[in-house]
Amino acid sequence: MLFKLMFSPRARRTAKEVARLKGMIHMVDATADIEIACEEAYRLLDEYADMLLRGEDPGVLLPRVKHHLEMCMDCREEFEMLLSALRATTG
Amino acid sequence: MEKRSNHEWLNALKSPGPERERALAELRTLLVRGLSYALRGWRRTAGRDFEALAEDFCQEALLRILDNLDSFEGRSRFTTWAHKIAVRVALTELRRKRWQDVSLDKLVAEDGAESMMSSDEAGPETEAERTDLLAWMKRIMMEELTEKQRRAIAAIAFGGMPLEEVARRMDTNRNALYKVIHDGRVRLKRRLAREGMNPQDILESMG
Repeated sequence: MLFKLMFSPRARRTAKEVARLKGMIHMVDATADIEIACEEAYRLLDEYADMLLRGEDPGVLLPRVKHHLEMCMDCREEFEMLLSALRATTG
Repeated sequence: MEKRSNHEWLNALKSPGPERERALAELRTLLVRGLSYALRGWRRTAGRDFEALAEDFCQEALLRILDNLDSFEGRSRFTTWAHKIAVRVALTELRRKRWQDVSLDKLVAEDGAESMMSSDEAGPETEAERTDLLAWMKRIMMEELTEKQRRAIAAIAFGGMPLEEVARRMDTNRNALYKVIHDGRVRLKRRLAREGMNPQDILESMG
């Protein structure tokens, strides 16, 4: 199938459109049949952050949280801000 | 600032009197310090008074923490759990303010995101589409996704609007909208598999 399809340029196509489509395909590729949604990820986020700050790999014990953070921009932003706040106050 | 165990934090915050006031003051100081630092990294707060902003958010966060003490499961440090709540309060408000004047319809239309999933791909498949990967992908998105899924994906993935803000405009919540989008991604993934298309191969062919 792929060999029949070419990524042929068209005059009206923009680089932005291509970048968006690539982003979308990445997301589709990374999609799991079962994923946790934002509420469950939020419930576990503090535990996940503490594991990371202790030098453990939280992705091993909480792989679905790790996957959710890769897929959800809102939750990833919250996690990054949480880590930042913790690093500023721990020690 | 004294180091308290989770148990000591909970006991202090639950018992009325000076011990509670002292614990609350300590927690406030900690949350303001953490949040004012974290806000500096948030790209849309440039030029703002971080500490004043953090003070406002922490006021609300402390109320929420006190209301939800019984839901603390003890799976993390108590202070990590409290920071998590403060961050949620701050980001919810920052996102709401940042996007308050942007309508979903306008975003999807003006940003051109709509064109990714609609318009000229309706109707019979054309010869050009059979040899054009982008047009073909747009077609399967039209065929596999509901209108709600297309709008949400367009606004979030292409328009950059936070899930939370899209959910607010669609009269749903972030959790439910995530599930709607996940269902859409699963449908697209299965369709690609049925068509014998490997996403990695598609990406490679796009360069």
